Parts: sequence; C-alpha cells; structure tokens
Amino acid sequence: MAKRLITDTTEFFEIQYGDVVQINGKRYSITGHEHERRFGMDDPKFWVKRAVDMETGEKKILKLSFLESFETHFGSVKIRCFRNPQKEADILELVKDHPCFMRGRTDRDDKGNIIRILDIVHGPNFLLYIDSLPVGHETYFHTVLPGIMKKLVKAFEAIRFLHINGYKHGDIRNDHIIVDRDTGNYVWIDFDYDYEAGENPFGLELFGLGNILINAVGKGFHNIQMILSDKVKYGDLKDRLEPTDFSIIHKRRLLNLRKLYPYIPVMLNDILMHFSRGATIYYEIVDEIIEDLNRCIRSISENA
Amino acid sequence: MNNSILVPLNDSVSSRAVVNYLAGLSFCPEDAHITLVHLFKKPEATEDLMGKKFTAEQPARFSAVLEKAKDELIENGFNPNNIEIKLITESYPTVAEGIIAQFKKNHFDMVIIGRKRMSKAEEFVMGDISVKLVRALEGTAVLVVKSE
Repeated sequence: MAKRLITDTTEFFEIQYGDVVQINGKRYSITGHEHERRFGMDDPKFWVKRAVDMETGEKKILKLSFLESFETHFGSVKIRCFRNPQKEADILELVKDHPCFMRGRTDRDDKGNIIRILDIVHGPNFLLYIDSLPVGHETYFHTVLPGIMKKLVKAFEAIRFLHINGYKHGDIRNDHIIVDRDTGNYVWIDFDYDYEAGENPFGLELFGLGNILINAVGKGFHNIQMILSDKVKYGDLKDRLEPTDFSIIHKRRLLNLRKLYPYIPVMLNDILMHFSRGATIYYEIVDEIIEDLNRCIRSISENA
Repeated sequence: MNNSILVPLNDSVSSRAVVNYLAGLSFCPEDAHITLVHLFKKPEATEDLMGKKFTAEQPARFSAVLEKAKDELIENGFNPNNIEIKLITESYPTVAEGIIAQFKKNHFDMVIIGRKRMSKAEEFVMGDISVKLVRALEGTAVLVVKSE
C-alpha cells in the first residue's frame, strides 16, 4: 500500500502504520500508536502515535490534538476533566531544561492542530518499578526507600515548579512517573489533562502525590480484599483496622501502613494519614508535603 | 451604627439559602448596607471547550441572580438605597480569593456565605470557600449559611 502523506491530523483515528505525517516541513513515519495499560486493561490511544523522524532516524512520540471532555469519579467525587493540548505545549516550553519532565517541542499541522513531538523516556513507570524490586518490605524500607524518597522529593519539587508557574500536571499517577533508565531521574510524563478544580486548585494533584507516596512506602498498594484474603501476609491485621485507616477517596485502600509495618516511623505514617478518612486537616499546597518529607528524610538519616 | 455586609452569591441552592436567611434576619434591615456580589472564577478550560455562547451569557445570567436577590431583600424591608450590586468581571483563581480581594478593597462588618452539604472527600478534593474565609478574613464576622 502506498504511503500517505498527511498534513492535517484532525482525523487522527485514520492515521495508520506506514503513513507519513508532515509537520512544518519535517516528516515522521508512523510506526503505531500508544496504549493505556491500567488495571489489566489495554486501551489504544489513537491520538498518541509512535513515529520515526525521517531525517534523523530518532524515535519520537507524536501527540495529536484531541479535545476530549468528560466527567470522571474520584471515589464519590465527580470531576469534569478535559484534555488541553495547549496546556501541555506551554508546560513543555516552561520545563524544557528540567530533568524531571519529559522533553519535546510543539508545532502545528496545516490545519493549526497543536502537535507535541516528544522524546521517548526509557524506563519502567513508578508502579512497575516498585513492584519489580526483588526484596521483602522490611529490607526495602530500610535500604531502598530512603533513596527513593530523596528522588520523590525532587519529583514533587518539579510539580511545585509547575504550580508556582500557574500550571497543574493534571493527571498525577504512579504510571505517569518514568524511572529514567539513563539518568535515574523520576520523570513526569503526560500533562495534557486538566480539570475543574473548585476552590482547591491543587487538591487532586496532592491526592495524586499521596498515592505515589503510599505506593512507595507500602511497596505497592494494600486494599481490604487483599488483607481479608491473604492471612499469611497480613495476619490479624483485619481485626485491628478501622474505617479511618483507609483512603478518603479510595475507600478500600489501606493508608495506615504502620498497622501493617510497625517499623514505619510515626512521622512518615502521619504524612500518609493526611489522605485518610480520619484526617481532620489536609495538605493544600505541595510545599507542605515536601517540607514534611524532608523532615522525615533527615530524621531517618540521623537514626540510620 | 450601620453595618456593612458583603454577600457573595451565585445561582446555587446555598446562595438562595443565604438570601432567604438574610431577608428573615431579625435586625434593623433599613439601616444595613448590603453589597451583593458575584465573582467569576478563572475557567480551567479554554473558551473553545467551554463554548463561546456559554461564556458570553454568564454576566447577564448572574446579573439577574443579583437583581432577584435585591428584590427579595427590598420586599423584606431593606432600604433599596443601601443595597449595592457588584458583578466583578475580573476573574480569580478561586472564588475565595475573589471575595478576599473584595474585602480588602472595602471593609465589611460581616460576610455571609452559603455552604452546600459536602462529603469529606468532596471537601478534600474541591475545597471549601467558607473554611478559607474563616481562616483568611480578620476583623469581621463570617456567617456561614448551610443549605440542605
């Protein structure tokens, strides 16, 4: 089949393997599209194309304009979300020299659609990375986690950089951090999402950071079904749990990890408990989490 | 002494509860200076996503809300000359920030704000104007009217 030359990417569903997309005179050969892999699902993302720069041979990701708007639920809370290509383009420009963000540039096709031409960050996402560490929790906690926390603080500071510049990441999740195989940096990807934030502009951002911390400290998530069904791993934990030990949003996710792993210091556990149903005070800005995390790291270093 | 009262409103159930509460409040209504205000929050989405027609209709929509609230207060004995209507077209990152900015421009003896019932999770994610006002405003009373 003859290769098609595409200069208008509006109908991105129709752009297939073998097509050539021309943007501002540069040509990219399409080799496929990306997939969203979460919770065992595999959804194609037809607006995110894998491509090769035909001049340099470099592999790239072409993110085409997709003005999607929808409602999503965080637990019982309904939020209006939308994709905002311009926001991602603006952030790419803002963070172009920052080691904790994916890199790329923005251009427009012949119809004015915003296209982000992204470098590929090689490495596992943070969810897979934590899951792949081949040590038990106690060893992990004492030997691996301190290093992870230092890198997380850097990644959280990167989010702070966005916030003070008036932007939100928009979709802070464990699988939106890539552990860069080359540099070891934790690199944020995918910031084209945005949402109606109400009176707490960074509430969902902080909630996302909380989830990342919970995954890091717990070496994965622990939910009530796991606790009820795995007596070997969780012992009598189920008899010691209270509703306030669980997430304020994800009602089945255990946050009071000190009940499972008693060697977790109170100070660190308290950070997690800000996201629990028992919390009476919430973080409002990322600086507050960073400050508490730094205090924990110092305390752990002094006691090591 | 005449009291000045700032009343931020939109077209929500909790704002209607605020107007009803104020209209029925037992004090000297003819002496109270009321400022009914609506503030716009900066939209997260671009105008393309929100819809240009929708965006263009907002000032008229909220102007009508404020006029209706004024009429209700007049019916309940408030002095029309002491009721000011303000539609603030400058938009703010949050409504609370807008109210705080208004308060800083003109001191008010009281701010009356509505609060809808919300779960802990909603408060965590969406935030709460009344909590922010209670924390931020000094030298005034903050009256929170909780709607059903």
